[in-house]
Amino acid sequence: MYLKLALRNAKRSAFDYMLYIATMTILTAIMCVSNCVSVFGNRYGFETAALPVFIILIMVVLVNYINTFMLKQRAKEFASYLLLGMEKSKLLQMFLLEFCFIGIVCLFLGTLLGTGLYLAIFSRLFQDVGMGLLPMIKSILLTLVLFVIAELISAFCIRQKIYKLQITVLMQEKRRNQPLQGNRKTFWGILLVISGFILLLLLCGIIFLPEDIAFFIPNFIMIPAICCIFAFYKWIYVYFSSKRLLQSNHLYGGNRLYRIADMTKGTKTSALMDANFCICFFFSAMTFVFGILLLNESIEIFPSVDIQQLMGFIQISLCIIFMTIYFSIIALQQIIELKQQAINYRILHYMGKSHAQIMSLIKSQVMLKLLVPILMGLILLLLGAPLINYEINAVLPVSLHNLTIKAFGGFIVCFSILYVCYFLIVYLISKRYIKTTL
Amino acid sequence: MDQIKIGNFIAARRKANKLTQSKLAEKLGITDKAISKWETGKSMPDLSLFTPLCDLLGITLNELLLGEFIADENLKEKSNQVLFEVITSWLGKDQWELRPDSDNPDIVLKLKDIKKIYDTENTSTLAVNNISFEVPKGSFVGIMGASGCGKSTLLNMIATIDNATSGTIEIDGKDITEVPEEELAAFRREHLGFIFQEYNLLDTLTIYENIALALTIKQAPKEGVKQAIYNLAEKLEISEVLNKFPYEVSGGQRQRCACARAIAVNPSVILADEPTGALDSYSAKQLLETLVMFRRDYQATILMVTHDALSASYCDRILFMQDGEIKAVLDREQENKQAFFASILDITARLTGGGSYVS
Repeated sequence: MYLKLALRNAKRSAFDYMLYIATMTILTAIMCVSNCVSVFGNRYGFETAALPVFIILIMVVLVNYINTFMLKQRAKEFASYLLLGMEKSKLLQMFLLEFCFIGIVCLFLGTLLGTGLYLAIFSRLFQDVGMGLLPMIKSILLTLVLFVIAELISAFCIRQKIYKLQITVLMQEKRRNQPLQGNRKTFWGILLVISGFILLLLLCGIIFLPEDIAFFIPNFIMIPAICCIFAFYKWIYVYFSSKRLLQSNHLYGGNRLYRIADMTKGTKTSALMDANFCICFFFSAMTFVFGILLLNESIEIFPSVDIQQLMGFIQISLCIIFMTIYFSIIALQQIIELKQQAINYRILHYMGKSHAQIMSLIKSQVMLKLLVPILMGLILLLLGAPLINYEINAVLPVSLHNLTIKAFGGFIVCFSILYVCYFLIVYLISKRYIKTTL
Repeated sequence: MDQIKIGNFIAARRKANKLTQSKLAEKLGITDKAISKWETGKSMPDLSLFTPLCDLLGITLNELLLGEFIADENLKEKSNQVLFEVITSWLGKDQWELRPDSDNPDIVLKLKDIKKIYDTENTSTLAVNNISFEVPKGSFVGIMGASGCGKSTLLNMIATIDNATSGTIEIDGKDITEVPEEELAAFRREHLGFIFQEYNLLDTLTIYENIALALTIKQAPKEGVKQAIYNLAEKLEISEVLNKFPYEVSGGQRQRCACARAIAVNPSVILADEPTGALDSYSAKQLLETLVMFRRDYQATILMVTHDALSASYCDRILFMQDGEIKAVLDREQENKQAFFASILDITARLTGGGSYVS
């Protein structure tokens, strides 16, 4: 009975689950490919085990975000089940069944996509260096294990959420915003400054300290970097929330009030998501720069040129994949939010906003949505790139000096092109949707 | 109704029936404190307790509401008095106010021969047929009629959301049927305020911000926004909920926020589409009194669509619509509200052949 209901619900909520399925499928495919890279890299002495772990972390955060979103979308339906006498354990059972069913579909689709990607791009290259289909089989198994781990963690979080839910809360859940928090601005500001300062110190340490001491620093440099990124987004959201709480005059110009309210409606989740996307951006920048260095034949890191070229190619592919995750998920999120906010745009239209003004508001919303998550990553790159360039220049011949800076520049150009493409796609979809809605 | 008189009467009848406050409370399934509050005139019994209370005290409902025994020879006269008092407390006690400029008013809204036809492939439906009327500045006009009579279509045309098939609609002397599509939003921003049945507040904004948004869209000076909102909130008794989100407050408070949003921008006309439709009777009454206050204190011009006779009784003028046409017009002269309400019921009964319009 519950299986039937769960299957029917999953079918009916197909559109709502679009974000979920797309995210999970893309991530599973990437996890599958990155596992291949990990197996291949290990064979040549490269420590790549962190890559799938990194992806699984992104996956857990995203899946949790989407689950919260789905719970919001279907809160009234769940409240009705509870009102009709369904026990919470049964409701949980039903939701988890749906969750599992969709998870299996995503695992299948993701693995298929990942394997296809591997066969299309990497398999011939790997065969050339004697790896064959082995990494693919290993990676599929590893993907399955990691996927199950991510699903179990998410299932546990859902369980906690559902057991806490009250019917009255569920009735209002879809409209509910996260409370405005303006009281911890100083805390997050101080944390941002301290972690930023430590990060800068560590970067200087890598460059200026003796090699035997500096060797250990890269192992833990990501800790202050992640702290810095998270504290930055927390601070930004708390800052704008406090502006709203103080009813500052600054809010009453142009579309500022609406935009800031839209930004701060889910402060807690948004900070976590933006930090996550920022790390994604940061990681893709690093893989791109490393890939460019590897592709340069004058630099010798791997035992053979072929393998080095292949690794360079893989690094750049990973960068593109990470950027695709970044843009695809944010774009999907924006399109779904557009659908949810249709009523708001209609109200604004009644209140005197013209069609063109609403489109201008949406344009700025899309621009910000795609840009805000990379802000801190961009600041860190601008600070870190000259230092890394300085360090790498020391080991490169003079003719290759500033190659790192050039690589960072190349990354920014690629990112900008993708940014414009995704911006146009989302904007045009929004334009079409608004035309039919207003 | 004199609550103290009723309270004294309840106390006297309780003692005459040899009942203590506790015993009476026990029999009615309520607390002693509630009985004590009735007897001191601080509150009235709940509606559901009227009948059992009368049975226990050995009195009729008329006697309870009058606070004294009614002799048989006075029964008709006293019953009428009770009924009149009940209706008065239900409708409110306001009397007709003669406004100084009522002899030569400025016309804010003028409709002439408005017609709306919906054409589909095979059929053509006449939703609004040759409607003409004028709304003077500072008046509260109601459009009353059953569902499907065309009143919302008419309101949508005035709101510039829908186009009339023929005829002219003038707001502040400007024919909106001539205003180009791209200028309509600016026209709405400058001249119109809206109050909807479903409130239509933005859930991502607090009550304060919802009102501020309207002022921001109208590009009101930033410095004056906060004070303007606080002043309005105080008048509308929503100061305490200004920092809450719409879903955290009651329906009545939400609708009063929508009213504040509409009046804050000082529009030429406020268009209210069944504003009491989603409210309980107490909140509905509070809202209608708010609209009357807008007309009185802000010289606001209000056009309200309603199907409810009680809501319509707050208007100065009522246009009765049926089958897309105005079938009758009722102006409130200097009669009291009860008489006006009775006239509304008369006309609706005449138009519908006895159908009820009181919700």
